[in-house]
Formats: sequence, C-alpha cells, structure tokens
Amino acid sequence: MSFTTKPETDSSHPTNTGNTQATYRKVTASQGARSGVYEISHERTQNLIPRKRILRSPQKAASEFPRTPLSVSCLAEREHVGRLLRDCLSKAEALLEAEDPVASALLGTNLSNIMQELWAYRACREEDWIETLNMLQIVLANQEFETFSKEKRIALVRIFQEGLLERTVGRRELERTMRLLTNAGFDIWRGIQSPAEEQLGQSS
Amino acid sequence: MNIVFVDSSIQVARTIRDQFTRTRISSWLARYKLKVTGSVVLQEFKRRVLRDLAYLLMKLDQTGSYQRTLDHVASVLPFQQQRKQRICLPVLHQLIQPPATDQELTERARLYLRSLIVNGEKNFIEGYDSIVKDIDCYWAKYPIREKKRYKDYDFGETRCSKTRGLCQVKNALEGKIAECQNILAFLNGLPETRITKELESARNFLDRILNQNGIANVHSEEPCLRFGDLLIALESKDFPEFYTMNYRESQAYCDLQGQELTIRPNDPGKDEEVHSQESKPWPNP
Repeated sequence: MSFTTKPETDSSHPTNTGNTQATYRKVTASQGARSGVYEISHERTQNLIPRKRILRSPQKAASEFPRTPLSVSCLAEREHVGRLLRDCLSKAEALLEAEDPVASALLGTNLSNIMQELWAYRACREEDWIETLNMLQIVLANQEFETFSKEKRIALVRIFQEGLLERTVGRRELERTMRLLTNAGFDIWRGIQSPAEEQLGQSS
Repeated sequence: MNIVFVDSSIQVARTIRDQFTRTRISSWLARYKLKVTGSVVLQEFKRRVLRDLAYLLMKLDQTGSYQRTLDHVASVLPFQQQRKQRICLPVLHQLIQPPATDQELTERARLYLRSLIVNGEKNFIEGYDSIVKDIDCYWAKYPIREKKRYKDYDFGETRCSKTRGLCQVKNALEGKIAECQNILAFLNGLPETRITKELESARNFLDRILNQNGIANVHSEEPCLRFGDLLIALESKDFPEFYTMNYRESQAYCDLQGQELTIRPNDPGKDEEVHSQESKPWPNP
C-alpha cells in the first residue's frame, strides 16, 4: 500500500482512495515541525485462531473467527494526543510550582481546556484511557484551582506521569488514577451527587 | 487514640448525598485517627449503591440517551425508591463544560458509571483503616465481576440462603451467643417508646435463634439482608464511638454497648449530635 501526502490538511483520518492507494492526512494543528517522538502503539492485525481449530476444519475456523480488517492507522492523531498530554503534564507541573492564586487559576483553566481537546481525539485511544480522561474531567469540572492543596497538585502531576501518559492505559492505570484522586482529597463520586432536596421532590 | 466505627448510612450518604452533606461528613471524620467499618456495611454499600449504578448503566444502554434515562428515573421510579432516585439522577450535565450534547453525556455517563462500578468496592476499602470481619458476610467478600463491559455485572446474590452454606454468619453468631443474649435481654427491657419496628423484628429474630429454632438454620432467616443493623452493632461493639445517620435503631445498640453515638442529621445545615454515655437518658426515637 502506498501513501500520498496532501500538503494542506484539516482532518486526521486517512482515507482510502482505491484498492491499493490511500491518502494519509496529518494532524498539523500542534506541529510546528515534525516531531521526532512517535508514540506507536501495538495494533492487533487479526484475530487469533486456535491451531487445533484450523487443523480440524480450516473453512469452519475461518468463518468462526473472521479476520478483522487492518485498522486504519491513527498515528498522527496519537502523536497529537501525546503532544497534548505532555502539555497537560507541563501545566500540571507549573500548577504545582505556582504560588500566585491568579496564575494557579489560569493554569488550571488551561489544563481543563487541553483535556477538553484531548476528549475530541478519544477515538484513537483505548477505552480505559478514555475512561481515565473522563473521570479526571468530571472530578476537575468547576473546581477552583487556586484553592488546591499541595497534595491535589502533586496528584495531578502523578496522574499524567503514571496514568494518562502511559503508552497503553489499562484497568490498572484507571484504578491507580482513581486512588491518586481519592487520596489527594478529590471526590470521585461527585458525578452522582443528589440534587437539592426540593429538586428531588419536584422530580418525583 | 480516637477510633470511630462508620455505619452504612454514613457510607451511602458520603457517596450520593449533596456536596454540603458530604463535606460535613468528611470534616467530621477527619478528626479521628482511625476510621473503621464492617463487612456488613460493605455488603450494604454494594447492594444499595453499586447495584443501583448498574441499574442506571443498564437503563442508559436500554434507552441510548442520557436525557431519556433521567426522565425515566424521575417519572417511573416511585417515591418510595427515593434512594435509587438519588443515585440515578447523575449531575454530569451540570458538570461538563461547555454544555454537552445528549450523545456525549450518554457516552460520558456510561464511562463514568463503569469506572465507579468496577472500582467502587476498592475505593470503599481504601477509605478505611480497617474492615472488621467478625460476621464475615459472604456477599461482602464476593467480588464484582464484569461479564460484559457496560452491559453485564455480577454482584452475587443478597440472601445468605443462596451462599450454599458459605456465609459465616452462623459461626459468627455461635461465637457471640453471650452478646446476643445481652442484646435480647436489653431489647426486652426497653420501654415501648424506644422500640421501633426494626428493633422489634431484631428482638423476635434473636428470640427465635436463641430460644426456639436454634442457630443451625439461621441462614434461612437471611440475617445479613434483613437484620443488618443488629449485625453491624455486633461488629462495632469493641469501638468506643459509632457514627451514623440512623438514630432510631442505633440509640438502643449504642446504649447497651456503652458507645458514644454521633448522629449526622439529614439537614446539612445542622451540626452533628453527640450522645455520650454521660448525657443519658437519650431522647426517644
């Protein structure tokens, strides 16, 4: 398969233009120059078929375990996501260092905005990564960053370092992120807090 | 060293009540060096909170819409199921900025609920310094299994009789015969003004297992499901302070066991009420 690169692009999805030719579109929004760092994840190329099944009946095995088509590479999107995550980490580190409340609030807002942009690119990452990002966004929504304790700021740095920036985020990383949030004093249950009593009465 | 035993009513409130109540509970608990709870509380938390979250996740899957799910919960669930209503009225739409579409809220709600269901139990356990396992409730130990992501979760059963004899409540009660007899004698001596419906059914239960049927068939009485307050009282008896939102039953058990009873009132604007042994007689429920 060969690829031709279009000079001006606005979408990040590769498009297949024929049987053998595809146009590869880049995400160039955050790239001043080509980055030397590529975060390439392993992508499974096909379902595994048990050897015994193949030996017994190749046709039946093929129908029971249909080959998934090669997934469209979202290399550029992943690179962009990596760049945004490194931005998040630097904002979180700056938030940790910040002593001025105004600077803290601005950094926190920047961090929230970058996470919102990350959400737009969620399709190219694994489900546990999306869950972790979603949890973080819910926990940090409408928070006053200037009042954050040192523990909360440290937790944010660690979450990006040890959680979201991992090459592959699984259940363990999600678990660790939730533990870091809780131990730092964040409330992971705030998304299901009940409305005020009068609202509850009206709704019933 | 100050230690507090936390009741299931507090544990449920600190996850689903309004922000102000949660803050009040957290700041009250912060004054203790050690916070402990019991296996029956864990079982009740899983049954009353995490199961309801799974219900909401299932409804989201069924309706395919966050808004339609909220409408369903608000209009279909009866008022008696207020707790389920509380849990099933998530506030993601108030949190997510900029305001999200129904499609995005549905996706976020599914992700969020799954995170809580899968990690909620661990989060509960890590929130305490110790979990007392005197009763050793089987369904408290039963791990939540994710059979199919976002769709199918196995919480086990709720009844002791469905454990095929694995629930240790029988052995636990056999080892606590003396305590049970004390509780029965105390409940028998309580004036009618202090006896509630739950206390009366606990008294009848103790009478049946101690004086009539024996403990051998206690599983058929479903004690972990039906007499949670009594079992929590037995698990908490060694701790000097008991923190709850349920004054009606706890006033009797704490009075008998010589514990200091701290009540978190329903009104978040009110302070905690502390009933010490020196402040007896305590008010009627």
